[in-house]
Amino acid sequence: MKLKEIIDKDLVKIGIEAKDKEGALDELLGVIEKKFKITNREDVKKKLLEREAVKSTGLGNGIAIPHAHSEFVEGIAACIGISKEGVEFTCLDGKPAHVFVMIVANPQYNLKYLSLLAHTARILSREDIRQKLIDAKNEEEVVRIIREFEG
Amino acid sequence: MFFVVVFLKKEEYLDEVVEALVEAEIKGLSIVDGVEMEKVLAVDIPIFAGLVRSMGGMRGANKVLFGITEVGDNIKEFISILRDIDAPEDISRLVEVISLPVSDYLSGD
Repeated sequence: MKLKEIIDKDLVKIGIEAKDKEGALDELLGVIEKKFKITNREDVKKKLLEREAVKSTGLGNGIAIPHAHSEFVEGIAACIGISKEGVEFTCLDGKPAHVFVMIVANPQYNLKYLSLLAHTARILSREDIRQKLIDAKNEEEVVRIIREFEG
Repeated sequence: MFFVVVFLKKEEYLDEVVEALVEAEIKGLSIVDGVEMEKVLAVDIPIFAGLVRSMGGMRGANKVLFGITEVGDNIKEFISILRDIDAPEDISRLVEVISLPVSDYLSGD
């Protein structure tokens, strides 16, 4: 599964305002809620925090892919957040995160959820893509970068 | 339904290969450790001991992934993803992928 199947400009936020991990999770969840049905926000946030407690999804190199399953999500939902300043996200390399892709899904969609997670990790492993996303001037440009890469 | 086998010649790329499988929505494969036949020849069978020098840089260990997948297109997608991976080496050249149609299948699920 590819990000372009889900992401549009309304699911991108440039200028993440949060200063810490929990704040960033809240903010990203707010972006997702603009377009996807989440019937129990607290449960989804709890699942995201539980996942972070296992091991941070701040993978290093300025990227974080917070993700979780919850039965209170309809289908698969995702959003992208960009922070030029960076957010302290307990990344594996100890540096701030600049590019966030949050993915939450109903457990019924596990295979597609895992596919999207792997795909996102592969996209963001590319330094050129990461830098383009950080430098993007607006939400449309972020969507265009993703679509160009995914073809 | 297809029986898929992936031979990975450099085990250090196992993470990338497994991630590519997941991305291609192929799940449930088994992963086993393998040894190149040439290594067994060269190391375990005295008459072939000279192969160690002539082969130059034998890797020895590899990984074999195998199992059943339902959709043949997923295998094409897997190969396409392998080609796209940004790694020091072209991982698609370090694997051999075989898929065979399955006619009879019994699952415990």
